[in-house]
Amino acid sequence: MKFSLKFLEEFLNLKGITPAELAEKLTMAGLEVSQVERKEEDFVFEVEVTPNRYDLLSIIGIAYEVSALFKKKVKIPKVNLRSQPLLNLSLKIENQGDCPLYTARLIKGVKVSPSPGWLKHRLTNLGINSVNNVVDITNYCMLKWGQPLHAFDFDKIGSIISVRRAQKGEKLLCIDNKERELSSEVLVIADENKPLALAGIIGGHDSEVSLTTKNILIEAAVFSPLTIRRGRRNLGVESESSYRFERGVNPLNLEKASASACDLILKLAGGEFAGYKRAGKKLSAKPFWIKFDIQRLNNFLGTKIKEKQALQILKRLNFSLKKKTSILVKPPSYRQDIKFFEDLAEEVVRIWGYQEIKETLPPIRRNLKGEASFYKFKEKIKDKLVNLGFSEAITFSIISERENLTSYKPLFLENPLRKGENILRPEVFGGLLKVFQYNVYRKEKELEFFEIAESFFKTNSGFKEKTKLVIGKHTQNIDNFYYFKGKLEVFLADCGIKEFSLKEGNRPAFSDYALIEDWGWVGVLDKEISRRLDLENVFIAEFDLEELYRRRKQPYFEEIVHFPWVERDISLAKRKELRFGEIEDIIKTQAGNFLKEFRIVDIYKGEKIPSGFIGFTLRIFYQHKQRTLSSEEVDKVHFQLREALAQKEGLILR
Amino acid sequence: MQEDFQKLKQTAERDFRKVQTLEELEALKVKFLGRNSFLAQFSKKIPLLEPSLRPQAGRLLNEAKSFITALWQERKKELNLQQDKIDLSFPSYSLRRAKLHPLTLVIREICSIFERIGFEIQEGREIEDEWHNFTALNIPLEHPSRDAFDTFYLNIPSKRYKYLLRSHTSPSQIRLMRKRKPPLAFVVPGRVYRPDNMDASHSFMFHQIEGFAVDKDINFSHLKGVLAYFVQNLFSSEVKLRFRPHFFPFTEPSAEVDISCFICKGKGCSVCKKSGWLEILGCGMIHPEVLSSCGISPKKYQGFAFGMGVERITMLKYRINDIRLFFENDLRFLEQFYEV
Repeated sequence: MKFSLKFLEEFLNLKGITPAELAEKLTMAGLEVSQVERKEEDFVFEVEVTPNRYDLLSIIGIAYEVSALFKKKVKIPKVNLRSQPLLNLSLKIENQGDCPLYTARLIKGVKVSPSPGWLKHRLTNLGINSVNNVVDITNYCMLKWGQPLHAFDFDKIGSIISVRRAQKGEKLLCIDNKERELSSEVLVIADENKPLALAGIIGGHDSEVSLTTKNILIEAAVFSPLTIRRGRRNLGVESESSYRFERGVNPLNLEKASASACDLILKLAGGEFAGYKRAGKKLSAKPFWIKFDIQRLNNFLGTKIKEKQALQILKRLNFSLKKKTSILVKPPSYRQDIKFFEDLAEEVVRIWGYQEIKETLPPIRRNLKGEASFYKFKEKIKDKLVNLGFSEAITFSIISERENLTSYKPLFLENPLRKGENILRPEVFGGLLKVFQYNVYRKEKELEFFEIAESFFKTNSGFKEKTKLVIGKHTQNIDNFYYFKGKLEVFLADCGIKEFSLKEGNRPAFSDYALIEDWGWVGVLDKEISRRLDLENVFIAEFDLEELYRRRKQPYFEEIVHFPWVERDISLAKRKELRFGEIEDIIKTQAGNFLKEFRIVDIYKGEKIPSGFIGFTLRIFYQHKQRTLSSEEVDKVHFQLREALAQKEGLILR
Repeated sequence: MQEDFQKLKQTAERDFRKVQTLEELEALKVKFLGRNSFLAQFSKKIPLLEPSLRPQAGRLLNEAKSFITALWQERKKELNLQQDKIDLSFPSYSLRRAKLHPLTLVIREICSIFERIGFEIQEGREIEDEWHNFTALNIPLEHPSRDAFDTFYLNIPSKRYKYLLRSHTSPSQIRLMRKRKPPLAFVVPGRVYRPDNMDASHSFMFHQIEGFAVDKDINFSHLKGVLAYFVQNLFSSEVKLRFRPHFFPFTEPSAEVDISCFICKGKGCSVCKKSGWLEILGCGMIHPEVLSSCGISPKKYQGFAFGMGVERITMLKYRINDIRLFFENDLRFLEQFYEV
């Protein structure tokens, strides 16, 4: 919304107040001035009117605001509210919910011509094109009073004017020369034959006032904000008029705006007032009395404003006061946004000055209950993963249907920004693939990332939102999977999970895949997909973080075994299909309670290994919890283990 | 004789100082103390001297021997040390450190500031319904005050309220106020979504932190105090706050908060668009209708609420100039940030 100093000065004397001062005071009272621009003799202010203050969508409304800030008197010129004779025209309102009030004034014998300079400037300074004197006057009066008006060429419309919903398929060529196809969402002004204008939004081309127009009908009406909003959204057209109707207009200004437009037309374009007609209900703003309590106000704001000061501010804002057993105040008719005591408090303090309120730190009290915090848990998880070398990524939860690499049914957006971003992701790992790709394109090949984010999917009963942790690695060497797995084990152990089962299975998009209990999985991305994304080896693990949270456990001390241990290595080659789990079973059975642990110390894929086999060196650590083992004891057990391994199908001792 | 020894000691001193390697040093040791050295030769000659001269000769010999031995030991120590020395200016092996995302760093910092003065951190869900996202927050379903909260709706059939992706963290305020009894003090961080096209300062997904406190006598002055404490801890103790009256449907009175530009110190720069002020958050006293819809009597309780965009604050704090950087996850970007 824009206003200019000259326009404002029609209603109050601003001598001695600089534009900068005015801008600062308005901003600090809640009407943010985003720009002040000099235009010849005038200054144009661009202000951001908040949706509750429709009264500020008029120059007179701004004048009242300025008068309260600078203690100046507003002078509103008297308007001749001519309403005689009664106009011989049929006015019909189909539904008063859409249009509670419709008025029409007829002027005959006008001479339409270009506007005088001052009028042109009033409009063009505020960004409205000058058309002709009649149209300009309706716009001028709209800016002044906040009430949109419309002028029809009376000779181009029929004798029955109705306000009704458009019928499906009806069309209207608007004054912007665009033809619009209408639906029943849209309210129109129509005569007996066709729509004439989109009510409260934009006029029709055929009935617009032109230089040949002789007789004009001035429309002033109140339309339902909701109807206008739906209509203009439906048509995708917004105007100064719809902007105001959507936010609400003050019905008390309706007659004044219409009549003052008539006055000005008669003055500038000549002609003769030829009648008035109205349909709908008489509207009045009904502000009510609100109890004012200075103690409550000060307690609410943490201030020490004196009652007298506060009441003076309210008076400057044109509130009425009534003293009975308590003080009652009533907002002026144009302030229908004031309903609660808290609204009064804001009025007082915004004029008194927010900057006058002291900054005090309160003793913050809260019920100390149920402090276990999933947020804190997640933050600890992040630290653990960073310590293991994974960087944190944050990626978009909205993805394309095509990017869904899972079998889950995703949730669709009703109003996606672009077709390519239309679902909520059912799994989080896709985000990491994009992160890998982005960095691989920038010559980073060894990448380790994680992300904690929500996943969303359809269920039989509706939908589910789950917090997921996804950990991923991109590497040039497939064998690095075992480092990745090692990190996962360390991470899980750090969450209190030392033992877990891996169950191999299938999953779309993954060539190798295993479930980790029932709260996670790990896999290697299908090579075909990797290649398509210009990636090499990608390992992904995903966990249900809420499950990890439920399973979190504090550590308990375990007695440290002080007896020495002995290491023995065995070099083996296993057929690829043979699962290590079977080798592990043999080790556990044979070594029994001599077994401390075992590790893979080397993986070998050289020429000496038969094809289809993988070579590796197993290091066994022997230790007894209650005594020192002799080397003979160890040798014996170790020999038996070798024998057992040698007999295993698919395993070769090297 | 004395002069000869004097000369020998001088020569030895000069030679030992000159020597640079351990091999040379050993050769020098042989030269001065070895079997064929002057001293060895001299010691063989002592018995041939007149008895009266022998004690003096013996003393001179021993003195020279220990003098040269000391020279040798000292130089050996020096050379050894020199050999163990490394070149500290030599380039390091390049190591990389995994990093938390800068948004996590800032969310943590913000939350911990509020935690210090008694707020509890909680989170909400990202799929919300219209009632929690709008109605309970006194935002009429079809009203211009909703224009600021354009929202992604979800295609989930529902009999009661439409489901959506939360367009702000405020629905968590509603959920917490309905679940817990006053006095209350929470901060709620999280992702939010709005159908804005991506550019340098807009993203359809971003992060917010919501905060609120409800008690019998929490007032606007407390709101100012809490936010001043927050801003001065996050940026610097010199930063000033400016509260401008504003409108939010869920607070009354409402304010927008500007901080004095810490980049130009209020003189005016490109970041603050020459105004000297940076807008960083919105706040106000919780609207009585909001308290009522959560079953809290506005006659008994009052409270404040505030909300801020984490990306905006992070961009100001770290002087990042494009919001899209947060979601590209470029290592060269992520590696720049750390906790202080």
